[in-house]
Amino acid sequence: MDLFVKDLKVSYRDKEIIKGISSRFGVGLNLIMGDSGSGKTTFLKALCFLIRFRGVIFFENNKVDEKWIRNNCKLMIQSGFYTEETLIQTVKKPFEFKYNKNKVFDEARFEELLGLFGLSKFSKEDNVNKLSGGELQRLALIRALLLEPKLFLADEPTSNLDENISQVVYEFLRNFCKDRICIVVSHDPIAKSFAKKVYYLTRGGFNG
Amino acid sequence: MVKPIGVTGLVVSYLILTFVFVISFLERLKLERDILISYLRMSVQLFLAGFVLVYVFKIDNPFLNVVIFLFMIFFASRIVVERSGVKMKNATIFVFLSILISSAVVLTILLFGIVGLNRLNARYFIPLAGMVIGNSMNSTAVGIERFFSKIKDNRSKIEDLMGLGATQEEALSFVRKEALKAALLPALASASGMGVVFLPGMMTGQILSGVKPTQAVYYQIVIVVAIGVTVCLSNYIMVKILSRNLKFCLTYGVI
Repeated sequence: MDLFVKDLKVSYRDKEIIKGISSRFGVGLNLIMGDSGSGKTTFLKALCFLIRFRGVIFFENNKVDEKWIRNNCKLMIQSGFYTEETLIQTVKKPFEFKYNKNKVFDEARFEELLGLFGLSKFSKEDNVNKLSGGELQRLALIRALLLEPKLFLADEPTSNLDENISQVVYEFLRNFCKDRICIVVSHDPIAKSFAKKVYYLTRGGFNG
Repeated sequence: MVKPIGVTGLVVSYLILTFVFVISFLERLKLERDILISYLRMSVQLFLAGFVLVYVFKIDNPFLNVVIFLFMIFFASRIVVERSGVKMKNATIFVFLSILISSAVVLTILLFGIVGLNRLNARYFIPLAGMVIGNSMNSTAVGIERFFSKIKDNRSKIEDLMGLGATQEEALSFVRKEALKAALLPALASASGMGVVFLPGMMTGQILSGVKPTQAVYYQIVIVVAIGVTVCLSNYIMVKILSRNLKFCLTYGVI
């Protein structure tokens, strides 16, 4: 199983934000690092068909389209998550979508992940307003993980978490990504030790 | 018969507008020019409408009536898009279709099912269409403005939902909800206040023309319901069409 990105370019008006990335991502935790403004977030959003881009993306040698992405790829954005009133309503929301209709919400797994990521003090019926920024980020992570995608993308999933929890998250992700392709953008130094492969994004493309 | 107002009455009425000019001047709203143009435009349009309606009622041709109906909706759609500052391509067409479909459905039921006409009589059709379209125009202006401002304020939430597999239409569902609520609330508030807080224009007009208040009430209730339904339908159709046709480029703006 691999994802091949061929000559991906993103421009806005006349400015080229990504100048042309060609890269292959295999099963496991692929970590993307790079300076601010190098286009990491833009790259993830392009992979998820959230912004216009030029270039082609192949999954197992087949060209992917938006429909395939909505079905098989899930992205955890960095902040500004959509929430419903309670924790459980928030994580169940994506299961209502047309492209996720074949997925079944696993409540026991949800509770297990709440415990694992240090959110066991909350009941699943609690109001999401009770959660701090870091706690909400973990809930958003759980929400994406429960969808069990073939291609999992995450943008700075531990940016609001302390070191201990970050460690737990990356340890979990290393295991979670054993049978799927994960592409995670992070500045977190802890992430490196859990990654299968590390990519450095510069304005011109990937190094490493 | 109604006691005519005459030119002197009109002059006095324009003089009362001085209050608006004074407030705009004192509070530095810089709206003097807008006020002047708006009321001048209103007066010219109404005088023209008065003259045209005399002929329209006289000719009373169903084809001509429909042409006027379409012209009114087109004019309303232009105003909605201009006033709300929406830059989306084809927005006028989308608003036009929303008001056209909703008002055509409601007016058909109203004129043939409730009033009991057997042909499209201009004397009933044009004024009732005007009320329905006018209210639809005001509410769709609120609805479309809210729709786009909510998208602008909640871009990351929409990205979040689409990143989790939502189609654009599914991701915009909460935006549609907010826009619909905002558009419907004034119609609901106005319906709640009627008869106690104020007597609506149509009923006032009928009473002044000598119709019994008890009879005027029937017409008024029917038209208020018709307006409410058209407002709801037109906004619903509009936000549905907009969500489907919006070419979304989330990070770099709506195209």
